[in-house]
Amino acid sequence: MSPTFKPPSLYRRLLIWLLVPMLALGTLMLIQAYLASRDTADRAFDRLLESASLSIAEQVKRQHGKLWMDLPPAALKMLASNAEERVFYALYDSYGNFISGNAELPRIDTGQGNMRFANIEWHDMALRLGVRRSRLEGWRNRQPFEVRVAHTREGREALTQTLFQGSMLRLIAMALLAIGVVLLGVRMALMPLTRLRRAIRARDPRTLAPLELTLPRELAELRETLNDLLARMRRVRTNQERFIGDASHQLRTPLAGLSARAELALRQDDPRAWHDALDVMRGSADKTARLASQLLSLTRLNNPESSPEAGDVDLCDIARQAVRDALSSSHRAGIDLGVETPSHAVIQHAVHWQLAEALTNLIDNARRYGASRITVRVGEAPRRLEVEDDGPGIPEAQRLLVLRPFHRGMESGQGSGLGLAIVDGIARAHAARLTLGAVHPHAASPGLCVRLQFTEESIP
Amino acid sequence: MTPDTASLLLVEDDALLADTLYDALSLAGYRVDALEDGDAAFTRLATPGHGHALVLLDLNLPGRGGLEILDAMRRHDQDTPVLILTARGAIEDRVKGLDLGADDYLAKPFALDELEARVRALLRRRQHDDGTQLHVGTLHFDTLTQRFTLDEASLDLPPREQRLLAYLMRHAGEPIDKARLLEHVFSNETLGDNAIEVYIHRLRRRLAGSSLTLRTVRGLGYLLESEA
Amino acid sequence: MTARCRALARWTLMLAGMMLSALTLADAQVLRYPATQSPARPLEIYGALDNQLIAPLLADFHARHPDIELVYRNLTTLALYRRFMSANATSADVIMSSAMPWQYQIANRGLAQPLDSAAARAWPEAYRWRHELFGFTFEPVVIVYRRDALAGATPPDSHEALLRLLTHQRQRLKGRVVTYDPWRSGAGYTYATQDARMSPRYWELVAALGGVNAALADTTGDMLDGLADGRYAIGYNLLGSYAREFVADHPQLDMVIPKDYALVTQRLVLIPKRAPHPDTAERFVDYLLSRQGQQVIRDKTPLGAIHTALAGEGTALDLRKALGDAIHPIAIDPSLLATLDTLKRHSLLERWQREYTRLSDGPP
Repeated sequence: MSPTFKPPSLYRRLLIWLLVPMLALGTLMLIQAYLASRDTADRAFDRLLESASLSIAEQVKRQHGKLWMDLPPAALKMLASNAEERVFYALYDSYGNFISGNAELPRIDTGQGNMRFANIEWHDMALRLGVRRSRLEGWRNRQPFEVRVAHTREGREALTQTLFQGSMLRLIAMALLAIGVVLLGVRMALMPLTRLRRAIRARDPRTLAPLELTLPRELAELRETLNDLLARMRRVRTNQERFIGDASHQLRTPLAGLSARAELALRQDDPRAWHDALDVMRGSADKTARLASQLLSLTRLNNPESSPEAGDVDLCDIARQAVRDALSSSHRAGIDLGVETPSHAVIQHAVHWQLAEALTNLIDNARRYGASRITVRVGEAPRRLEVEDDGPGIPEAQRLLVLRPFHRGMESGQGSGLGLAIVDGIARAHAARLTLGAVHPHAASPGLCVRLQFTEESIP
Repeated sequence: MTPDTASLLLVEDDALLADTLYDALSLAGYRVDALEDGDAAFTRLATPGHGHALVLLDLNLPGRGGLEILDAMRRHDQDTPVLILTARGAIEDRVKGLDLGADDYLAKPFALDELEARVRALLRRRQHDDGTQLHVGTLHFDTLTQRFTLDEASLDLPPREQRLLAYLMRHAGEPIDKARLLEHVFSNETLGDNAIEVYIHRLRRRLAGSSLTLRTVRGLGYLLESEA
Repeated sequence: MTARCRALARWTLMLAGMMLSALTLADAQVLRYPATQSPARPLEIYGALDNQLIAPLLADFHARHPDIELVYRNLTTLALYRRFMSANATSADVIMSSAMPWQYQIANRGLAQPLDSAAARAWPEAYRWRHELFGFTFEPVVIVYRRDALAGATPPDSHEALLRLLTHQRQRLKGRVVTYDPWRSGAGYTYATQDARMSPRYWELVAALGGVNAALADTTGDMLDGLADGRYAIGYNLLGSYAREFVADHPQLDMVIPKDYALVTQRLVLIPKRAPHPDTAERFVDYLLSRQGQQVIRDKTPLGAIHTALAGEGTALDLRKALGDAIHPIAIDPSLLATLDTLKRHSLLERWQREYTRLSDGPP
């Protein structure tokens, strides 16, 4: 992750998801408010067209066999309203013939009722046209006619603006209020999260005690998960502490022995005594060195940071190489070391060096616990690695315990007690099954067969 | 050049280990040059003509690291065997070292016996490469005359046994399986597994009483080695 | 005269008027003020305003803007309107006319362009429409009478008093009263519509006028001449701006502004949308509405200044002070359009005719 990249905060996310729809809604409401304002203004001004046309229509009569009207000036003034609109009027007969007026206004075909309205463009002017269909009053000859009135839209637009501005101010005030409430609400809703963060941050980094904090349900789950993790970490730390205690004990003891033995030898003058001391010290140093390297192996195996590279490896290769490596030292110790493999490769997805390490440890282990014949075996279906010896073996009750670090199967043995723990770690890393069994269960020397059997999930 | 006069270069920064190895190898009859830091070793080995028969190289050095030195050296010197000594422990480092041209690998801590055995083996392998004489302990073979001597006495062998022993001598210290023997020693003959066992048995009888043994390693094959 | 005769006469007159207007254009009813500075900027004004009335104003304007090549053409209101409405004629830059309905009609049709200047913005709302049409004079409609003819009787200082006088002194005043002919004179027709809207008793006055066989004249000038030479004793609905000067020169005459209500007519100015030189046109109209222009109107013409900061004889301010609410300027609003309505005109004139002949002994 680059340092400049900042993942979006939950707070911002919530705000975006709340505010963006709110703004969209606000915009829609503004549009709606504008349309409503225009509608209101139109209705208000259309009423003027209606009354003006009515008052004109009332003056229409029949005279000299023709339509006649005495135009009331007040009707025109009504149309002009305060905004000094331009006004137009016309009287048409039922055949659409112009009778009188100051402009020839178009008819409106769409719409229903006696009064119809339309917005028209007329001689470069935007007009609102109102057409009233009426009939002459009388017993006979109820001749139909049309009064058409029109005026410019400025007054409507001004009224629309006024109404809309009012609505807009109210909407803006409401939006500001809503934004404030949202900001506050989100902050309040996220408060438990802040408390949790503070509680975690305020903790001593070495503390693994569970979090005690009253939280809403969603966060309580998180807290429980955290507490589970902490509990696991506590167990890991307990194990680690025990391991470190054991390890330091195991390392210190032989070092103390070395030091004491050397000191004792120096006090003596007899070269034979020196030779004996050096002999013992060499053995002890070897043991300590081995212990140190096994501790390192175990640490490396348990290091969660390491990501070993797994690949397809031939188990037979690994077995032969392990035997070859241990050959000369085994031979010197008079141990018969051998390998049994199929004649063809047995491929397994695994970490090469870990399997080699496991075999090295198992061969070493067998040697140290008094075996005289060791056989490394590769099996198929299921794929497995086996190291079998003819030593004293491990009683069934002890077989699980020996997998723990620093536990030694036999007090008299020369091992560090880490070899099987390392193999166990490697088996776990490969999801392989590790089994310990006797070779000849009822014999005096039952022997030990350690089997590393790969399973379907054995892909580390 | 005999093993007794071979010049070894020891590159190791730990004073105790360096002194001990120096003494041990000198006692074994080698001439030993010891260097303590990587830069000096680099200067010595990165140029041709250093004159050493074997290099013992620690990987973790002050100054330049062992792998870098090895890399530089292998650019012009393919022959001089290199034995890597390291505390780095794990097997994966061995792969890297061997890839870069090291001949063998020894993880600290190691037994002096082991080290001496490896040194001997590497020097011997070198002799195989250039000489006409093969030596395994007290067994000698002259490739020109095709004659064996064991404990100063001439050893006459039938041709098949002769070819078999010569091959095993070339790969002394290394287990050789039957398949390999069939391929490299008896490639133009039709022999069964049992026939090889017969010849091995005969050779064992001939070597009995000497310091040489011809062991069977289960699953790996036959191994010729000197007890000395 | 019967209605038919009148209609005939009206048509002939209209025809004559058209011919006359054509003649007038060719003729030199024209004032020219050549530019004395270059570059010369042309300005052409069409006005229904006598040359001697407008000249002081034009001279003062020209003195202030010597770069303007000013041409003024004097036309009758009808000719002015027709010329403007004919599509092919080139437009003037400024049009001034006392025919308020026609000027209003032009502006209402969106054919005038707005003027946005400081003076225009400050102009009283009652004397303008939008910012397209401005009234720049203030001329009351008055009664003029001969002092000697009315000896012993109360002078008619209101419509009420005039009606009383005409009713009581019917025999004495027969043939001695004069007023506008609403058929032939646009001004006369306009006053009649306004009078009719003011009070239904106007029709009684028309009947009384008919009762004394009042003479019907075409212009204020005709009526004043008749009064001066003694043919008439009383003239009703004369244009105050003309009468004021005339009465001042003729001591036997007296001018009364009716106290119950006094109609006030205005000359309206507008800049056509098609004006070829709108920049000079704007300068001229701005001048007309400015304090300087209004001052010239007050001091050098009888037209009556409107400007709110100007007082003195004949100004709007003085008339308002003297008569208060009785001052009744003809509103610049859509009711002017009603006066142009053909049917309306027919209705009104028919009524007028009916009332006029109601008390008369015979055709006047």
